[in-house]
Amino acid sequence: MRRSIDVIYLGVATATAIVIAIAAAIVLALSIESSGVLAREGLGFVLSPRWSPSEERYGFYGVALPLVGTLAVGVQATAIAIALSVAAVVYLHEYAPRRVREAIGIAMFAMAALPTVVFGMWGLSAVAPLVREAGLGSLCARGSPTGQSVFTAALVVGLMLTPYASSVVSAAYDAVPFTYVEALHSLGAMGFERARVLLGMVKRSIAAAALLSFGRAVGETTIVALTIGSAFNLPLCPFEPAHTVSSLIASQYGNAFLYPGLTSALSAAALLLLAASAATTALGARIARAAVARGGEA
Amino acid sequence: MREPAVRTRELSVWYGQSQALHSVSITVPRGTVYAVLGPSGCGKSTLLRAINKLVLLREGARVEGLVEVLGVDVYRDHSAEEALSRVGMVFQTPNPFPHLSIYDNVAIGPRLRGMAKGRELDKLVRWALEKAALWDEVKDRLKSPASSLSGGQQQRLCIARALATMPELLLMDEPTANLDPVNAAKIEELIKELSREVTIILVTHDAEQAKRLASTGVLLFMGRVVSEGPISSILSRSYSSIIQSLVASARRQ
Ligand SMILES: Nc1ncnc2c1ncn2[C@@H]1O[C@H](COP(=O)(O)OP(=O)(O)OP(=O)(O)O)[C@@H](O)[C@H]1O
Ligand SMILES: [Mg+2]
Repeated sequence: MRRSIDVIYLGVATATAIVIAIAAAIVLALSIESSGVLAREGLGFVLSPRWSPSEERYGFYGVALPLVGTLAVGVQATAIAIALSVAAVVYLHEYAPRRVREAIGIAMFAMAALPTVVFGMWGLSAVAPLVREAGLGSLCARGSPTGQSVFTAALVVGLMLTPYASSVVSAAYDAVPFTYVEALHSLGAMGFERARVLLGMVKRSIAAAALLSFGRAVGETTIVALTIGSAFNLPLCPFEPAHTVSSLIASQYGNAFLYPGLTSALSAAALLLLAASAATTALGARIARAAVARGGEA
Repeated sequence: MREPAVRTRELSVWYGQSQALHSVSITVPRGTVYAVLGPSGCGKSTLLRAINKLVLLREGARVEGLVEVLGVDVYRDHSAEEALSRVGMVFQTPNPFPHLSIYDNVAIGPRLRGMAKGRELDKLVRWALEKAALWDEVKDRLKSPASSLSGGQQQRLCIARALATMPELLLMDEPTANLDPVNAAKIEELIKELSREVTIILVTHDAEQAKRLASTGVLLFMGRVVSEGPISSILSRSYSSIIQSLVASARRQ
C-alpha cells in the first residue's frame, strides 16, 4: 500500500517536472530565437506599424497593428462572453424551469467540449456571410467585403468562451450563502431585483471570469485566423478585417523560412503573446481563487 | 378587536420525507412580543419561515394547513404578497449585504418597493437607523461597507433594514444567539422599545430572555405544540405534563 502511494507520488512529480521543463524549454527557445529581431528593432518591434518581411535584406518587423487587433478582439470577445454568461446565469437561476436549466447545462457542457476549429469553420461558413449580408461592412471606412472582420472573430470567440465564463459566474452565484437569498426574499426582492444584488455579491468572480476569458481570447488562434480576414489594418471600426498576433503567426509561420528575419520576428510575437496571456490568466485565476476562499465574497 | 397578527391552524411542514412541524395551531395577538420556545431542532425556525413563506425556498419543502398573516391566508389568497410585504425578518446570524454600504443596506427595502427617493429616502434611512439604536454610531460613515461593522452593529443594521420597510410584524429568529452579552442586552432593549409599535415574534431557546421580553408564547417540542399562552404558565409546566400532552397530540393524528 505505502509502496504504491510512493510510486504514484513519484510518477506525478516526474510528470510535473517534465511539463515544467518543456514549458521552460519553449520559453528559452523562443527567447533565443527572438533575440535577433529584438536586438534589431528594439522597442520598435511593439511600437512600429510596419511589417514587411520582404523589404531590404532583413525586412521590417513591427507588430503594433496586430497588437491592437489582439486587444480589440480580446476586449470585444470578453464583453460578449461576459454579457452572455451573466444573462444566462440570471435566466437559469431566476427564471428557467428546472428542465430548461438542465438542458441548457448539458448544451453548455457540449459546447465547451467542441474543438475550436469547429467554431472557426462555423464562423467562416455561417457568421461571416451573415455579417456580409447584413451590410455591416458598409458602416466602416475599410469595411470587409467578405464578412471576415474583428467583430466576426470576436463574436465567435465570445460564443466559444461563454460556457467557460458562465461556469465561473454560475459557481460563484451558487456559492452565495443561502442566508442572503432569504434576506432578499424577506425584503420582497424577486427575479431581476434579487439577481442584481446577488450579482453585486459575486462581482469579483465576474471580474475573474472576464480576465480568464480575456487571457484565452488573446491566445485563441484557429477561430481568429479563419474569421478575422488577415489584414494589416488599424481596426478602429469593428467590421474591418485585421490581424491579431496569433493570426499573424498562424498565417505566416509556414513561410517563415523564406525571409531571413521572419522566424525570429514570429518567435518574438509568440513570446509577447505567451507573456500577455499568462499574465491575465494568472491574475484571473488569483482573483477567482480569492473569491472562492472568501466564500460568498464581500 | 382586530384580527390577530398571525393565526395558524393544523400547520404541518415537510422537508422532503421528514416532517418538521405537526399540526401546529397558534394565535399571535397584535401589539405584543410573542415567544417561540423549545430545544434545538424542535422547529422554531421552520415555524417562523412558514409564516413568511421563506420555507418554500428550500428544495422539497411542503406546507399544509392554514397560515393567516395580518388577516390574509398567505398560502391561498391573491393578496398574500401585499400582506407579506408588511412583515420583516431578522436572522439568527447577522446577514447585512457585505458588498453594500450601511446606507444602501437600509435603503434596499424601500427602494425595492418604490417607497421613497432622494431626501425622503435619506429621512427614512435615518429614522430606521435611529429606531435600531445605530444612528449615532454610523451617521458619519453611512457610505462605508456594512462588513466594516462589529457583529452587534451588524445585527442592529439588519433590524434597521427590516424596519425601513415599516413592517407591522417583525419575525426575529434568535437575534441575540451569536452576540456577546453586552450586545445581546442592547438588542433586548431594542426589542422592548420596538414592541410598542410592531408585533414581534421572537424565536429563542433562552427561557429567561422570553420571560424578560415576551408576554405570551408557545413551547414546541419535536415539531409539536406543547403549550401556548402566557409565558409564565408555559414555562412552569412540569416535565411529565409536557410528555403527557405530547403523547396526546401524537395520538390525535
Ligand atoms: N432544509 C432542511 N432540509 C431538511 N431538514 C431540515 C431543513 N431545515 C431544517 N430541517 C429539520 O427540521 C427540523 C426543525 O428545524 P428548525 O431549524 O426549524 O429547528 P430550530 O428549532 O430552529 O432549531 P435551532 O434552535 O437549532 O435553530 C430539524 O429536525 C431539522 O433537522
Ligand atoms: Mg433555528
